[in-house]
Amino acid sequence: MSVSQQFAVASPGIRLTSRWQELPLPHAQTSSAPIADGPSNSQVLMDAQKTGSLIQSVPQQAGFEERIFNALVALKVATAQYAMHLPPLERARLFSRLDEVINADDWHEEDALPLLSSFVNFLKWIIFSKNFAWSSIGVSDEGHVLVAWVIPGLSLTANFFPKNKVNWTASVDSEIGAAHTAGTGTLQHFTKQALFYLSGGAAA
Amino acid sequence: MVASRHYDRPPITEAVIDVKFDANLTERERERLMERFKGRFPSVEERKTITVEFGPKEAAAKAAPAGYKMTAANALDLVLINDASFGTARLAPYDRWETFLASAKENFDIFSGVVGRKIIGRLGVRFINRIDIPRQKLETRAIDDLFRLNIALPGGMERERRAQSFAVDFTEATTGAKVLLRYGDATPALLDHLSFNLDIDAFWEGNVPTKIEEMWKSAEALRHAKNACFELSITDEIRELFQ
Repeated sequence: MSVSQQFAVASPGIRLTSRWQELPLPHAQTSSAPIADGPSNSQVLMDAQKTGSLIQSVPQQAGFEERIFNALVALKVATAQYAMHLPPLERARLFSRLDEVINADDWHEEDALPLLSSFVNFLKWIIFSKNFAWSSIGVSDEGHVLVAWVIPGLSLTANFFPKNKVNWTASVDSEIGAAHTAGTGTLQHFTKQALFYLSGGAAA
Repeated sequence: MVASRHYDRPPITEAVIDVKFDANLTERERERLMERFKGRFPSVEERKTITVEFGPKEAAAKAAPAGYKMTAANALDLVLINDASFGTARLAPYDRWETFLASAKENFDIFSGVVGRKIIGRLGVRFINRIDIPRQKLETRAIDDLFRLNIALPGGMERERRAQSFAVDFTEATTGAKVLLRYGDATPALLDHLSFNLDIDAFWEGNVPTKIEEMWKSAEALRHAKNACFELSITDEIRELFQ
């Protein structure tokens, strides 16, 4: 991405915005914060003869292993934003599983790195559903987070999209035979579906 | 003085102890610091100041190095090496002040070992809290009943308030520390919740003790200032959300 593409040009006057820079006080200096001060929605409103500047964090030029490590750390940093809503053991299990999945030994250079927004949707989902019984986590070719729940008689999978959307499949074994279902819905919709299957509703 | 409380699940998303200097660090100094800290903080993001100059016919952009944001492998602890400041930061889950301050002291000792003593112009303790409130709770309660912060508009002016945010720069009553407090709506972090940021930056400016031991002692007063501001800003109904 070229530098110019990071800016949206709108109406006259210069304004540099980030989450909290939108609340300026004259002469007020703040203590630097790692996340809140990052420009989330960088925008320069243009006026001839004036100059604007902002500070942007970019990953250092890194080799393959470092890029994988940085992607892993980014997912863990995202988890920190939700840590107060996650049981400590669940957070530790998530980190442990991420360490297993995202490492240079098992990753190929051409593989898409996991999308942060997809992972965050998974976090939102487990907090919303209060269901921490997932069995495994993976990453799709598009970088979406894939999650599976495997319990006797049931295999449930979910593909968490970056927007509020989940594709899911369920395979149920019961006395009257196997059944396969697939669906697409919002995170809230998937909660109802998943809890139905995980509570054994489909086997009844 | 308002009593500090310990919460089981504090809503702190970011805590920073930030030391600002009277003069900028050189690019070489920042690089040396980055190399020195890289063992403990291996994930490195380079910070760049991007300047856009607008002429009558064309715009030109240039990027200049502005420091580093370095994250530990635990993805919780960071150091921030900026143009003219050095910070130690902690993300959630935040543990306790004593641990955090010890980490800041250790990092600052390493910093001084690499680039020597600098004249300190500002010492800040900034805690950013994000408070997530179930929508259901807000069906029966107004947000102004939950926080003790509010912007009062003249009577007869508003029919319905959709959002608010404000910043206040003031001197804290009990410690005399300066405080920059920002409060307002945030992007909802959870499903079916609304989120509110309470960002408290307590600082000394221009009167930071020159002796390091005294400087850290003065950080304790900043801690009390930010705790007092936090406790006075919220109600018990908010406290219940993270106890």
